[in-house]
Amino acid sequence: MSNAMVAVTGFAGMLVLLGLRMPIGLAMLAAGAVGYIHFTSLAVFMNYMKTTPYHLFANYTLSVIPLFILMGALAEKSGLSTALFRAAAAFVGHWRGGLGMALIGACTGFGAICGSSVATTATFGRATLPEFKRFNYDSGFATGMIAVGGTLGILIPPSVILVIYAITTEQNIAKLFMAALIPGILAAVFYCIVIAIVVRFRPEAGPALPRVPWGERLKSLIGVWPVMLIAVTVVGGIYGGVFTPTEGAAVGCMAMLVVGFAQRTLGWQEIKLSLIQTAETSAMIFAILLGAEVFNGFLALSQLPEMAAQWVTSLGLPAYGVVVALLVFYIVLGGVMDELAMILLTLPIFFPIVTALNLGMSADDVAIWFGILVLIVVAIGLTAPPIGLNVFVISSIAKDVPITSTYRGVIPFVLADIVRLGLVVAFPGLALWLVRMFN
Amino acid sequence: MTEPSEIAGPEPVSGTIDAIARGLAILGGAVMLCASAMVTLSVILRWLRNDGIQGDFEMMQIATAVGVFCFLPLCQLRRGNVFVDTFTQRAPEAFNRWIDALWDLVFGGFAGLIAWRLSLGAMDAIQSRTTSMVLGIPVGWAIALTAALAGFLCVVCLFTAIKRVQVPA
Repeated sequence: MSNAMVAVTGFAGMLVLLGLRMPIGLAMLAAGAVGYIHFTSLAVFMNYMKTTPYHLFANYTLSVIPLFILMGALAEKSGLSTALFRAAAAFVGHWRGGLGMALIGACTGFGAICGSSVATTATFGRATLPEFKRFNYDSGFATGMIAVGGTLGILIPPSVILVIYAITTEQNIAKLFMAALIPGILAAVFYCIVIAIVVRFRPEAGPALPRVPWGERLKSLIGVWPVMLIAVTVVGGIYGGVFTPTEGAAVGCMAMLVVGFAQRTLGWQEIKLSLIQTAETSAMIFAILLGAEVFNGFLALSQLPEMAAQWVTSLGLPAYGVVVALLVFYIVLGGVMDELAMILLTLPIFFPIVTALNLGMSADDVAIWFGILVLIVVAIGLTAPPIGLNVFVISSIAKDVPITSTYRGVIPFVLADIVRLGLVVAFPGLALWLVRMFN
Repeated sequence: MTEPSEIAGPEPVSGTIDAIARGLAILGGAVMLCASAMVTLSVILRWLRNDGIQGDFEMMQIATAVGVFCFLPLCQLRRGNVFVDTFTQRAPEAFNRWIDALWDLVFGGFAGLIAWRLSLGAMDAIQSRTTSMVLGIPVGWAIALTAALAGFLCVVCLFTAIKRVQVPA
């Protein structure tokens, strides 16, 4: 059997295991281990396992993942999401669809401190659903908005997905965080426009709330500004090169603790819950990382990634056509697969293909730009039917809303995401402008 | 796709394993918090007198490895590991239960393998007195700790496998 055939067989075997309910990290680990042993020997694999599990995790860059998750968990448990939502609603709630726009605004603010879309969705699901119900918002519209708003958790830096992309492709996390900012804010603006359009056609879906006096509006900001200051310091400090992403996340965690103690919103119970939540989420991600490490070690041995890159280059296809084809593939695959596993499995093959294309940009620029495109398709995959993790999360909270209503609510936003994806493909400057400005 | 669910029941064994896993998760989180405090201090010192804590990144590395291994058992116990149930939704409930138990055993096997191999790796590192570059921390002991935690993960996997076939979900 040729090397490429072995790699393809390994892939197929892993997919079968996935279909049979094997946890994703384990499926990659098992298939990867078998393939690894095939190309080397049992002794080599055993030797590899002597240090790899430790040294993979004893990684300064990777430490940023649990730290950002912890920072988000502390922010959530200290009640930031509710405070943000109340403040935003005080300012724009009296518009038609305004409560929805307030949600998007609050998710954007929360996204600046939280790097996970599932956490953002769950947090805002619990915090805002009762409010949407109280003001008679259409239930599917509301759950759809929450599922979509949750993606702002990763679209606005910090972002766990971008950290994973940076580590897998050996890119600079700070640059990726910069590149994500404008497309991320654009996402929030687009979502608000979609809300405005939806309520124009269906005014009953998002009724206006009573106007809030200015005094109260300003008062609602009191609970919000210290944490937003932390977010700006952390992300700004990373942008400006004042500290590394890990240092930024560590400083952010400490600052969250200080603010939480000072505002009396964080007690021992909240901290304990934050730690447990961080443990579960981080363990889930690191189990997948370990599996991906072994599986990608196997793929590298098979040399499939290089062969695929050479093959695609030799076809002489139009460069942008290849990028678009890859993105379409991602959107389709993201519909049925876990997004984190998807990028970990495909990047070793796709990344060399993309960076070998002649797109009229430097290889560094292409690497950063493609990272943002991957981030957008991941966000689409998180909400789009038939399998959108964010939709599942919100459905598990809003048990009385049929999942089909949520999907119906999500669709206009997914269309907006596809338009935005097109824009970033057509105008790479949207992602790269800020990166160039800071360097 | 995934739903964290409590597998542990009220029996003494379940209670003990659950308590240890929770305790380890909190401990791992506390380790990360201490490392964060140290890194924050280093950033402040660097800002004040242009000189941070030497080798702070080495401590963060060790904290991350130990922290993550502390996190893994709780995630397994609460079924936090992502899996795809799209193709098996219509399958008989007993089939899913048994296959989940089988995967728990496979995971337990890998956890055991990792524990065994890491403990050998730890012994190598301790015997050759391998230390970290800047601070000279003996890395072998950190690896030994992760090996022990992987061993507990193996126990948790065996435990969840037994639980799954015992109690109809």
